[in-house]
Amino acid sequence: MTTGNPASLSETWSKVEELLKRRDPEKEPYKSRYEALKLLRDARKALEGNEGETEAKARAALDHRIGLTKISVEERGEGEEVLLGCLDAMREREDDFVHQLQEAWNALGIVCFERDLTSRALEYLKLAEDVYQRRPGDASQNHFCLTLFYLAQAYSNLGEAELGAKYCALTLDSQLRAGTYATHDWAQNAVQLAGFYLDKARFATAHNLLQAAGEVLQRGAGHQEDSTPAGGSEGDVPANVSLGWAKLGLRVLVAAKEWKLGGGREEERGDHEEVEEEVQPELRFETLALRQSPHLGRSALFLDFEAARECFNEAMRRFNEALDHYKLDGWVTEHFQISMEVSALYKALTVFERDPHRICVMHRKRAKKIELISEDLNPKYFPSIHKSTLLELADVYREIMDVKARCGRPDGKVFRAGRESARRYRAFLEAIDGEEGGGGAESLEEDDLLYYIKARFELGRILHKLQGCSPEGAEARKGYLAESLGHLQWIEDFTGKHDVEGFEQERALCVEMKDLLQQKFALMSAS
Amino acid sequence: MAKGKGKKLPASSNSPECVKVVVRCRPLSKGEMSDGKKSTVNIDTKRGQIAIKNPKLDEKEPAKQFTFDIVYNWNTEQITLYQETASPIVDSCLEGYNGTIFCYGQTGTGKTFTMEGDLSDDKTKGIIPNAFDHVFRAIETSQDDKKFLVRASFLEIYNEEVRDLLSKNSANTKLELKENVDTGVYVKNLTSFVVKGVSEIRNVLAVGKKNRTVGTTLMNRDSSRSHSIFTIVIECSETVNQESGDSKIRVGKLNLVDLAGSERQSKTGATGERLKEATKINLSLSALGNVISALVDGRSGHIPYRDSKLTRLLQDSLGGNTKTVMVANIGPADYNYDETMSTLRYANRAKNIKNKPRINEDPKDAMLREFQSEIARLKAQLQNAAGSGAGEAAGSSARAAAAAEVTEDDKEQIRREVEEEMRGKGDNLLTPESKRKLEAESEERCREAARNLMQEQEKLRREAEYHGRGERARAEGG
Repeated sequence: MTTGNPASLSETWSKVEELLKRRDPEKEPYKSRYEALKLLRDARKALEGNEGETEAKARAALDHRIGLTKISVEERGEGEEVLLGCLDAMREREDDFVHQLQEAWNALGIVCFERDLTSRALEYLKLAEDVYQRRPGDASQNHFCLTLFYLAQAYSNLGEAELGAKYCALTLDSQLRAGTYATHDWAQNAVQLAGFYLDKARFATAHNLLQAAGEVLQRGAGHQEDSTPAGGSEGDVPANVSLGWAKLGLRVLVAAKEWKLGGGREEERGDHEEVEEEVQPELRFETLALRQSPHLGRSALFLDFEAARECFNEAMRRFNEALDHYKLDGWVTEHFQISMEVSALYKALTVFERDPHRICVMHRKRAKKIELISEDLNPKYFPSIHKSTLLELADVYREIMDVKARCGRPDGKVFRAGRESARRYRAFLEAIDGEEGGGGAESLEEDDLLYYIKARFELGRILHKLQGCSPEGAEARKGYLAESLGHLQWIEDFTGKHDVEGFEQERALCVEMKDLLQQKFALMSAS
Repeated sequence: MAKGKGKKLPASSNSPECVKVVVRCRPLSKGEMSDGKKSTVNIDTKRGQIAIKNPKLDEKEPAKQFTFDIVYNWNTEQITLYQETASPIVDSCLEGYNGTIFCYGQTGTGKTFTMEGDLSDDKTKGIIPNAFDHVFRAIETSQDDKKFLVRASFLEIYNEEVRDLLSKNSANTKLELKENVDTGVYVKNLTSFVVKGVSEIRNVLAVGKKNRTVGTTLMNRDSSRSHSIFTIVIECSETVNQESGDSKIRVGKLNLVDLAGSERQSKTGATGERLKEATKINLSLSALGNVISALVDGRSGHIPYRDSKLTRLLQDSLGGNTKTVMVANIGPADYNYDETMSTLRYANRAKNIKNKPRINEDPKDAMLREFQSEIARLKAQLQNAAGSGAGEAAGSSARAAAAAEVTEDDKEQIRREVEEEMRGKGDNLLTPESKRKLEAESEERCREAARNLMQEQEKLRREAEYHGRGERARAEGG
C-alpha cells in the first residue's frame, strides 16, 4: 500500500491550488475542479488506515478541501457531509486549523442559507465568528470579513434589521482594519448605512457614519483602488456624501417639526428622536479617529424659528452641493429626487414660521424648483417623475391657498392659488386616466390608488372653495360646484365597488360631504 | 359601507404598468432522452399555467404552480411565438411608441434559439430576425407620404458597466448612462448606424456579436453573465399637408434585450463577480451595497446608487406608455429543476416591475381632518343659507346649533391617530406612562380640534352672512 509520503502530498496540494485557480471554458465550467477533486480523493485514499498524527492532520486538511470543492461544483449535499465529517478532527487541532475552520463554517452557513435554513446558517456563521474572536491573531481577517458579511445577510433575512445593520457596520469596520476596501465603495456603503440610522432618528450614529465616509474619501486609495466606482461617474460618491449630510439635516428638521406639531412638550422629545449617550462599538470606526458627534448625549430637536433656520441653511447648503453634481441635464432622476427633498425641507420650515406671507414665500420656492424641472420634462420618457411633479405642485399651491384663506387674504389671491392647484390635480388625474391600454384608477396598485383618490378629493375640495371665492360669474361658480360634486361622487362609487383598505372613515365622510354639496348645489340652482 | 362588497383590485396585466410574461419550455434533448430523463414540467397552454414538480421530493408532494400571460410548450413554432408575443410590440414601435422584448433563461434552455434562432432558415429564425423582416417589410409597403429612417445600436451591460458593442475598442471603453429631460435616458457616445435594409441590420448584429465574444476572451469575462440590448430606432416622418409640406414626426424605439441567466457560478466569491439573480445569498463583498440598500427603506429615501443600469436604460418601458414583454425560457428535465424554479420566480417578479412615482405627502395626511372641517363648514353654511330669510336671530341659533363640538367619533379618531403615531415610534403603549401620554396627547388634540372648529365656524358665519345678505338682496330684488 502506498503511503502518502509528504513529498508527493505537497505536490498534490500545489497542483490542486493551481487547478482551482484556473478559469474553465463556458461549456465545461467545472473541468479543473473535477480534476482537482480526483487528485484530492486519490491522496485521501492513500492515507486510509494510517493512525499517525501527521496522517490524521493531512486527512482532515484533504477532507476540508474536498468538501469545499464539492460544494463549489454544486454537489452541496455530499460536500456538506464531507465537511461535517472532518470538523471534529479540525477542532481538536484548532491551532493548525483556524483558517480552515473559518472557511468551513462559512461554507456550511452558505449551504444552509441557500436551502432557506437561515437559522441553521446563523449557527454555523456564529461559530466562524467565535473562532476569530477567540484567536484574532491566528485567524484570517479576510475569512472573518466574509463571516461578518454573511451574518449581516442572515440576520437581515430573518427580519432582524438592527442586527443586519450592525453586521454591515462590522463588515465595514473589518474592511477598514484590514485595509481591504475600495475607497468609493466603502464611502458609498457608509453613506447608505447612515440612512438606516436616520430612519431610526439615531442622529449621532448617522453623523458618525457620514463623517467616516468623508474621512475615507479624503484619505484616498484603499487596498483596492477604484477612482470611479463600477458603473458610476466621477464625483458621484462625494456628491452622495453631501446628500447624506443634507438628509441628516432634513430628518432633524422634520423630527423637530413633528415634535412641535404634536405639542412640543418636553416629555415627548423622546418620541421623535433617539438620543444616544454613546455610539455603538461597531459604528465607531476607531481606525479613523473621528470627531465626536454634536448629537451625542443631547437632543437635536428645537422649537424656535432661529434654530430651525440654522438647521435649514446647513441642509440647504449640502443639497446644493449635491445638486451641483447631479445637474438636471445628465441626471434628471437624481436631480428630481433631490429637488423633492429640498421641497420637503422648505415645507418643514414653514411650520416654524409665523408670518403667513413668509410661509407663502417658502411654498413658492418649493413650486419654483419643481416647475423648473417639469417645464421641459418629456412625460413620454419620464412618466413617473411627470406625475410626481404634478402632485407636488398641486399640493404646494393647495397649501398656499389654505394659508391665504386662513389669514383672510383677498378672494382673488385665494382663488389664483386654488386655480393653480386645481390645474395640477386635473393634469395628474388625466395622466393616469389617459394611459395607453386602459389606465385609470383600475390599473393602479393599492398604495398608488390612495394618491389618486386623494387627488380626486382635494380637487373636489378646492373646486368647492373656488366656487366661494371666484371673481367669475354665477355660471362659472356653479360649474365648479358641479365638477366638485362629480369627483366626490366618483369616490363614493369607486370605493363602493372596490375594497380600499383603510379608507372606511374617509369614505363615510366623503359621502356625507357629497350629500351636503348636493344640497348646496340645489340651493344655488334654485336662486 | 358593507365590507367584502367589492373585490380588491387585481393587478391587471393589461395595464401599461406591468410587464407581460411569456414562458417557453424547450423539448427534452436527445441526450436527455437517452439518459432517461423525465420531464418535471407540466404546461397548460389554455390557462397559461406551468406546474413543476420537485424531483427530490415525494411523488405525492404537490407541484408548484405559476401562472403567466402565455405559456408555450415544445410544440410551438417560432413564427407563432413571434406573431403572438413580439409582433404587436414591433407594430407599435412603427407607430412611434417604445417597446421592449426581454429574453431570459439559462444557457441550454433555448434562449438563443428564441431570440435569434437560425438566421438563415425562415422556419427556425427567432424573434430578432423576424423583427428585422417585419420592420422593413412594413416600411416597404407603407404609403408614399411616409418616410422612414432606421437606426441600430448594440450595447452590453456587464457588472454594471456599459459597453458599446459597435465601437472599435468596445472591450475597453466604459460608457456613461445619462438622462436628458427631453429624450430620456441615453448612453453617451453610443454608436448607432443607419440601416436601410435587412441585410444591413443583420450585419450590425453580426458585428456586435463578434465584439461581444472578443470582449469575453480579452477581458476574461463570462458573456453569459452580461445583458445585451439591441436597439432599433424607427423615425417616421409623415406628410400631413401636401401643399405646405408640413410633416409630423414620430419616433419609436424597439429594445431587444438578452438578459443574463443565473448561470452556474464559481463559489469562491472572487470580487467583481455579479451576484446570482435568484440566489439568496451574495457571496462577494462587492454586493455589500446591495445588502445595505435592502435594509434602508424608510423615510430617508435612497442615496443614488450604481443602480441597475438595465432598469435605468429601460425605465420608460417599465411603468410607462410602452409595451413590454418578457419571454422566459426553461428546460423540462428533472435536473433543470433548480434553474427552472429560479427562472420562473424571476419571471414572476418581472410581472411587478414598475417605476414608483415619488411623492412627498402621505395620502392619508390630514385627509380626515380636512373632510371633517369641510363638512362642518358646509353644514354651517347650509343652515345659515336656509335661515337667511329669518334674519339674525335664526342666524345665531344656527350658530349655536353648529357650535364647535368635537364629536365622540372625532375623539375616537384622534385617539387612534395618536396611538398609531406612538406605535410608529416604537412605543409600547402598555406601560402606564405611555397610557398617560396617550391620554394627555389625545386630550390636547381634541381641544385644538375644537378651537379650530370654532374659528372655522366664525369665518363661516361671516361668509354665510355675506352670502345670505346677497341672497336676500337678490330675493328682494326679484
